[in-house]
Amino acid sequence: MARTLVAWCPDWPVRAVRHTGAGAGLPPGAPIALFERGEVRACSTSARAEGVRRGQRMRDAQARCPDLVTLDYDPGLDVRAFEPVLAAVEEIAPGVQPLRPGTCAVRVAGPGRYFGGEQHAAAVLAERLVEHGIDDVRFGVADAVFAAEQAARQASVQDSLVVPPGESAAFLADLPVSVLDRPEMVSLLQRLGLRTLGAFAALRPIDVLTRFGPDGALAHRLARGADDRAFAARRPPSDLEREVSFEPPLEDAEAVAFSVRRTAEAFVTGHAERQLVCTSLWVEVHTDDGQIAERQWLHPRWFDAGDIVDRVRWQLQASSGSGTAVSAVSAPITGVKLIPEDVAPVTDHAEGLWGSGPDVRIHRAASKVQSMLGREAVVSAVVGGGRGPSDRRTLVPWGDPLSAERPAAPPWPGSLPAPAPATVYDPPRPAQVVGSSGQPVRVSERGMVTAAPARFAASDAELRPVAAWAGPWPVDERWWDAREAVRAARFQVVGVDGSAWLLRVSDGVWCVEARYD
Amino acid sequence: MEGSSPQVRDRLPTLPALAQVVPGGLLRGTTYEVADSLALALALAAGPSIDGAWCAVVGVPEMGAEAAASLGLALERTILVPAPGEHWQHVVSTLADVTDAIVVRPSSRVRDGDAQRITARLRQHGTTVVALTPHPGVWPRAAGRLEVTESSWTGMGDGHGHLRRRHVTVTATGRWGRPHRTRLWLDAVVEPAAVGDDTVVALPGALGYGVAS
Repeated sequence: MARTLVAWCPDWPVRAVRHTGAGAGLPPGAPIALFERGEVRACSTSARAEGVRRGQRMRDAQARCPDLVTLDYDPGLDVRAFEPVLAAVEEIAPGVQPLRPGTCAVRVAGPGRYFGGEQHAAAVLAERLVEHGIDDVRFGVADAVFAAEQAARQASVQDSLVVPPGESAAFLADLPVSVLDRPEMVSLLQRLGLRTLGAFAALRPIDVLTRFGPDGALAHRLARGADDRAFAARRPPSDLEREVSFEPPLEDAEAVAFSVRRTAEAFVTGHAERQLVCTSLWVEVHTDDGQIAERQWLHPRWFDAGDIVDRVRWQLQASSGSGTAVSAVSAPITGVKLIPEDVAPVTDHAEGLWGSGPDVRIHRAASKVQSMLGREAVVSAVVGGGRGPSDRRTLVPWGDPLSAERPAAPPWPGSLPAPAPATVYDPPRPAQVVGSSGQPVRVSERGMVTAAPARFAASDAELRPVAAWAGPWPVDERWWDAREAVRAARFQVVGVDGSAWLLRVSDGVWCVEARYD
Repeated sequence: MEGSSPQVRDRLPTLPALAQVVPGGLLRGTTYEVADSLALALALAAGPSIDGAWCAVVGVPEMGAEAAASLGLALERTILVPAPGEHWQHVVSTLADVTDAIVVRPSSRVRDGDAQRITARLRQHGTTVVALTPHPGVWPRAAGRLEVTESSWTGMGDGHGHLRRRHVTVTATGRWGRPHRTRLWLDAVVEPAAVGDDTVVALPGALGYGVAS
C-alpha cells in the first residue's frame, strides 16, 4: 500500500493569471474568467458567485456578471506558474508527481513519519506553500491518487482530509459518478441509474470491461478505491542543465551566441552520455539588472549544439515587445542557462529520423535559412477557421508545432464561399470604389450600398470599370469587444479585364483584402 | 533542358490538367516565368507536391494558404520564406538542395551571372523554379513563360451571386517554338476545359460574362 498525499489548488488557471499573467494588476476580489474558444475555461470564486460557470459562452457569462474581466486561457502559463510550487513541495517531499497544473501528488510515507503523521506533513506543506504566496491549497491523503484527490476536493482551505488506510472504497462510495471525469460514460451510468461511485463499484469487473472497454475498467478500479496506476514521480531537477556566466557582461547578441557555443556543446554531450537527446528546452537569459528572460523552444527532432546557439541568438534578437524576451540592448547579459524540458532516449528518435519527421536534410536547409534571416522568417502555413481570408491562415515558425490560431471545426458564419483567393494582402491595401457619377460608394447603417459600384481601383492602379460585383456582405465580428470590433462589409468585384478582387469597406474607407488571381 | 526528347526523370510531375500547358511536365533544373497569376504558379508546384516532394515559396508573403492547399500544394511539405529581402537568391540556392519546386518572386531583375549561378545549383538537385515576374526577361534565359491571357468569371452579376468558376486561357511561350494556348478552369481547382467550353458560361442559371484582354 502506498499512502498518497494530493495537494490541490482550486481555480489554478485564475491564480496563475493573477500572479504571473495578464491579471497581475487586478484588485483581489475582481471576477475573472479565462476563455478558451469562446467558452469559460476557468473562473474565480467571485465570478462563480455571480453565476459564471465552466463551459458558458462569453456573452452568457457577461450577462450574468457585467464586471467580468475576460482573459485568454494560456495552458503554458498554468504549467509555468506551477513549476515553483512543485519545486517548493519537492524540498519537503521528494518525488512529486504533477497530475495537472494546480494538482500534484507525493508519496506520504516518508514525510508522514518524519513530520509525525500525515496530517502534520500536510500542515508543513501548507505552510511552505503559503510562503510562496499560495493561500488556497487543500490536501487529501488516501491509499491511492484518485481517492486522495477526491479527499482534497472536500477539504477546507489550508486543511487536509485524511482517509484512513483501507477505507478508500467506503469514502468514495457516496461520491457522484461525475467525479470520474469521463463525460460520456458518466452520462450513460446516470441513465442506467448508477448515480454514485458505490453503485458503479458494485458492478462485476468483467461486465464493466466488456461494456466500457479498458478505460471503463480503469474507472471501475478507481471507483473501488483500487487505484493501481503507476506512480510516475517527476525526476528532480537533473544535472543536465548547463550554465555560462559572462564577466564582464556582454551587450552584443552575436558575442553571447559565440560564447554560448561551448556550453551548448556540453549540454548536448551531457545528454548523449546518458543516451538521451533533448527535444524541448528552456533558455534563461540573465541580465545585469537582475532580470531573467526565459522562453521555451521546441525542436521537431532534437537539439544539436548549433540549434541551441541559434535559439539563444533568436531569443536575444526577438523584439522586447513579445513580452517574454529582452532585446539585446535592454541590459548587458550576465549569463545564459539551458534547462532541458523534455528529453527522450536516442533510440526513440532513431525511427523518426528516417520515418515520419521531416527529413534531416530538409531541416538543415530550413534551419540554415533561419540562421540567415531569423527564426520568424521561415514558416509553415496552416489553414484554420475564420471569416476573412487572412484570419484563416496561420503562419507557424519552422520547427514549432503546426496548429492554427482558430480551429477550422466550428462553423464560421459569414465566411466566404469557395474558391479561396490565391493572393491575400495582410495588411490590406488601399482601394477606391465609385459609382457611375464618380461619387464614393458607401454602405448604409442598414447594409445597403449608396450607389452601385461602377468603377474601382485596387492597390495603386487607376480607376477601371466594374464588370460585375456582389455584396455587401456584412462583417460584424467581435462586437462584444470595443477594441477589436470590426464593422465592415465585403464585396467581390470583377474588373472588365477579368481580374477579380475581394474588397472591404469600413466607415467609408475601402481596402483590398485579396485577389483571385 | 537541352534536347527535344524529354526523359521522364528530367521532368517534374504535373497536375493532369496542366499536362497540355507544359507538355511532359516542367523541366528539372530550369526556371519558368509565370506572369501575374499566383494560382497558376501554385498549381505548377502542386504537381510535385502531391507526388510527395517538398516545395518552397520564397518572397510571396501574400500567398493564400487556403487556395494553395485547395490547388493541391501539401502545406505540411512546403517551406515558406515570405520576406527574404535582398537574400532571396541565397535562400533559393539553399532550399534548392532539398526541394523539387520553388515558387519565387524576385525582388528585382535578375542579373545574368546570378541566374547562371542559381541555375547551376538547381541542376544539382533537379529543382525547378517558378518565378513570378511581371514582364518577360526578368529572369534571363528562362525555359519558358506562362501567362494567363484571358480570364472570365462565372457566378456573379450586378450585386448578386458570388465568384464561382474561372475560365482562363494560358499561353505558353518557350524554346519549344510557337506559343500555344490551353483553356483551363482555374479557381479552387485546375481542370481542363475544352475549346467549346465557353458555352458553359451561358448555361441557364449561370450568370456569366467574359472579356478577352
